[in-house]
Amino acid sequence: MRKSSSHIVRAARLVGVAAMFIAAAASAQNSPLVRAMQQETNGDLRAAAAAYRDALTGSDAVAALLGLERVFTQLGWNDSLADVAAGQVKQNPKEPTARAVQLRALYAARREADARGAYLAWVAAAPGEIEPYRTWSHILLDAGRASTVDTVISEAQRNLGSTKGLTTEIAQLRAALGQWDHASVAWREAVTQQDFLITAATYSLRAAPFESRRVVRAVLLSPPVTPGPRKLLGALELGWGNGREAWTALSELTLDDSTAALWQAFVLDAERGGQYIAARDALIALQRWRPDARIALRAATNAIEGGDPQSALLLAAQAAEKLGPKDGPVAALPVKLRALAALGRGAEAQKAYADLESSLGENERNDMRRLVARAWIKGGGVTEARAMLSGAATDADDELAGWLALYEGNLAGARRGLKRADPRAAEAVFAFSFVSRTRVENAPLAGAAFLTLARGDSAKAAAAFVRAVPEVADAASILLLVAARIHLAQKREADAISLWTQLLGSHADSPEAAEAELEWARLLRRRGDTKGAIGHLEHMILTWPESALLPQARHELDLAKTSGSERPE
Amino acid sequence: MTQFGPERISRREALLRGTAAFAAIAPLHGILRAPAADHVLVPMDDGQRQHLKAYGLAFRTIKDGQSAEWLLNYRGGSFLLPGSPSVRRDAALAGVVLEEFDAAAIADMRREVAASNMDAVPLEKAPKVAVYTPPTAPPWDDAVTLAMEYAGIEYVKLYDEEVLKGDLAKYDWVHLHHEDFTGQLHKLHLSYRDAPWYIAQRDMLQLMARNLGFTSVPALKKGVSSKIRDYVMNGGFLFAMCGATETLELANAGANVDIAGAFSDGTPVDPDASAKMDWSRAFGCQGAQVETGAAVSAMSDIDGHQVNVPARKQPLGAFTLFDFAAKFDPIPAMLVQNHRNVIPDYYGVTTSFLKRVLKPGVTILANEPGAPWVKYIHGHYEKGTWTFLGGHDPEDPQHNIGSPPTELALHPTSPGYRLILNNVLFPAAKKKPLKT
Repeated sequence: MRKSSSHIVRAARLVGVAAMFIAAAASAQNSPLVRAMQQETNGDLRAAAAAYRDALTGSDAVAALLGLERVFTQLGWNDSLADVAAGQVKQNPKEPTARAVQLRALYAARREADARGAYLAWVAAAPGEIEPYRTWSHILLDAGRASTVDTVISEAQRNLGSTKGLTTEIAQLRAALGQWDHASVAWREAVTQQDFLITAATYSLRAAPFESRRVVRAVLLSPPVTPGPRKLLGALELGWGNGREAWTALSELTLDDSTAALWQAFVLDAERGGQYIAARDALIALQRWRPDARIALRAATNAIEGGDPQSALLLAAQAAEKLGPKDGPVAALPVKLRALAALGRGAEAQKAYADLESSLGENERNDMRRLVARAWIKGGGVTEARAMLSGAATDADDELAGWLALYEGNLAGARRGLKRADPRAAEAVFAFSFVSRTRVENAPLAGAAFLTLARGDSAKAAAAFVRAVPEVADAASILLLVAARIHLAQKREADAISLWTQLLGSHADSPEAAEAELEWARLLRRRGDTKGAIGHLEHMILTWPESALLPQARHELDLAKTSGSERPE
Repeated sequence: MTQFGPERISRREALLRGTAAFAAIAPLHGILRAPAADHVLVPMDDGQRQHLKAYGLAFRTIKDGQSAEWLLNYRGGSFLLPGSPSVRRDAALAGVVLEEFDAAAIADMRREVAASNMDAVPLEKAPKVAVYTPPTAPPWDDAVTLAMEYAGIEYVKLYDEEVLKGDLAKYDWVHLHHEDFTGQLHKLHLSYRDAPWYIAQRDMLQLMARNLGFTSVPALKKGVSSKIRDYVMNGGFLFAMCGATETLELANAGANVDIAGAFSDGTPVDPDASAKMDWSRAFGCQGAQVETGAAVSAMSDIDGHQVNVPARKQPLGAFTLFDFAAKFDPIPAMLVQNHRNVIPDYYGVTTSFLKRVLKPGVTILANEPGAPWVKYIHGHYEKGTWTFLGGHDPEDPQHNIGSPPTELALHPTSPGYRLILNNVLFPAAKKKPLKT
């Protein structure tokens, strides 16, 4: 009943506004209804109840009864309300509002048998009408009585010959019962007919568990392709964090002005939800429909945000071409440099900047030089980055300064600067977690190891991280773990195992120990050594019972025990 | 530095010891955090995060020779286990929530149990479990096998050859799932006659029937059904789900009647089959009408939902578990232990059992209020007991053929699967004299 209570509270707030209008219109006559509404707005519920009662005998009986429902519910007088509603029903058996209030009051008063009796009486008094079934279904759905709603719908089918008019109730029922295929079919039908139901449908189907979503997709994707079901699936997929699937659902709609508007709205939703690649794809489709350089540049920006700078470069080039040789290159330059920076292609960034430097204003030059410096830093070009930053305004907690400090082994400087690093970038997370863990101020060997890694020499980087271990004893476990990962990625499994052994033996108190053991177990499973993997997984679970990795370890232990030598992905 | 258990050694020290001899993996130092009580409670209400694995923990505890008690109706049917290192280790690995239960807590619990509709049932000996399942993998999962594997309960697979050899007698508890004991493969030929898995299964059964000396698959399955009936008569615990329930009843009651279509044994169904059935041979059903229509994908009118007959198919609702007096009716009480009383229904080739075909002595464990069918039934037959649960997979209401198996890691607290595991464990309960 929580839902109906909140509904009543919301309605009560609206009453205040309504009361003012009605009061103005009826100021001369000060009717009991207006008085009741004012008293309700003032919070004097008992007086309001009395005034609403007075108003029941007049021409505003329906409004008075609804008012009485609001105040009686807040006062907890559901039994009294049921009696009042029964009186109104007696006076006017055809009035659906009084019938509905009676049902709600009886159910709220836990008089379920009486409520069912009132529902049946309503059915008998209004043969051929859908309203009794719909109202009773709503009450039961709100109360979580899904199986009883099923009976009500069967009764409607039997008595009316159809359940037309109960589409949303059927859909909600199926979802409440976990019958996701039936729920999807019912909602598909509902949103095909009435577009405004998409929000309700999204709310209902969003609860489908992971393994049932396949059937929801199948229903909503099945032909014919119409906007309602596709919009619904798009909203569901976005809510489930599947931006690309959301876009796939919408992309098959026939493209016209209304579809384009829908896609533009989708881009906004996707950007808001951090689904940048889906936003990019939608923008590319829009751009193909009506070529527009601004859309291409926005698509490129989304590509960078979504971690695909390569496609951002192509989109930036397309935008530049559309704008022509005069304006295009300059307009596309910021996006192009951001993409090159993300790719660590310093030389290309440098050239692109140099080609256009003379066309840029002072402020723009500063910004672009920083992007070029970022591109150099990402690829380990320290000298070139410094050259680009020379003369540009940087402060101590600048991110670029933080990277340069890290490469020099100045961990104090790195700690200040890397606070502003992009938390979505894996290398930034790794670097920041390292400098945050250690209290060491200077660690040239560690700095050199990071620089080697940035320059793409993985083999030397792994060795360099291990060499740096004595220099930063309080963060040694991080360096060992990352060195082991590099070895593993390079298929040097024995080297990885050696480092895990060292980590587990000498740094068992560190958070990386559990992680190392889990990775070790995974390697053994991949090799087909199930017994060894089980040993490590059990050891990990028992030794670090508070590790955040425990659920994953337990799941992998189950898999190892039940699937024997089946190898993990 | 974190301190552990009675030895008070550091985690690092523990790990060093463990690393030195990995096989003896630093056993319990990570989980023995505080002075431990003699007993632990495995709560089975909403305080538990791994209800299904908790059954495995209880099973392994008694298999290991340790004591255990099943606290019927106490916090969702909790278990009281010894606070031994092996129990704690097992629980930690499985993620099962334990609560320390010292002597005072146990005394409080016993007072509450004595004063309420609750009981403490000792679990004595882990039952030997067998699952009747074909050697080939059909394109559907078996909820019981899934549940036991997830919970970590050992079981043995057997099929027709082993049953006919008399191997059932080696086991305390036998489960039947999707089998069609009328030998008609659930009439799936109507939709799947050309499907490779169907052809393979049909051919395998025909070959098996020939090799075992039967003229047809229906004859083979009648022979097997009769052995299963003997098993229960001699004191076995039988649990069946889905289509195995209905078809086992039909096969036993129709032992001397041709109830199988010509497509399966070459002869048409006896048109008077329903009148000739001997229901005294069935466990819980009587007076049902055999479905003689070759094109109707149903076996009889035992099932209330008739999922594969479009004109008869009934919608799913939710079923309600009955309350039983734990001290006077311990077996039904065990079978319905749960942290939910109302459970969403799910289809199977047999989803439910019409009330009108049940024998008078059958115990109804769960029904759908207002519906003409029930979901979950139980009864005694000679020296043994049988329990039937309708439907195929409690966490997959539709479960179409070819659907991927249910991933129980996503449903660790499943109330529907708990019903299955109640059945696995109840043969372990020590029989107490009934109070009068």
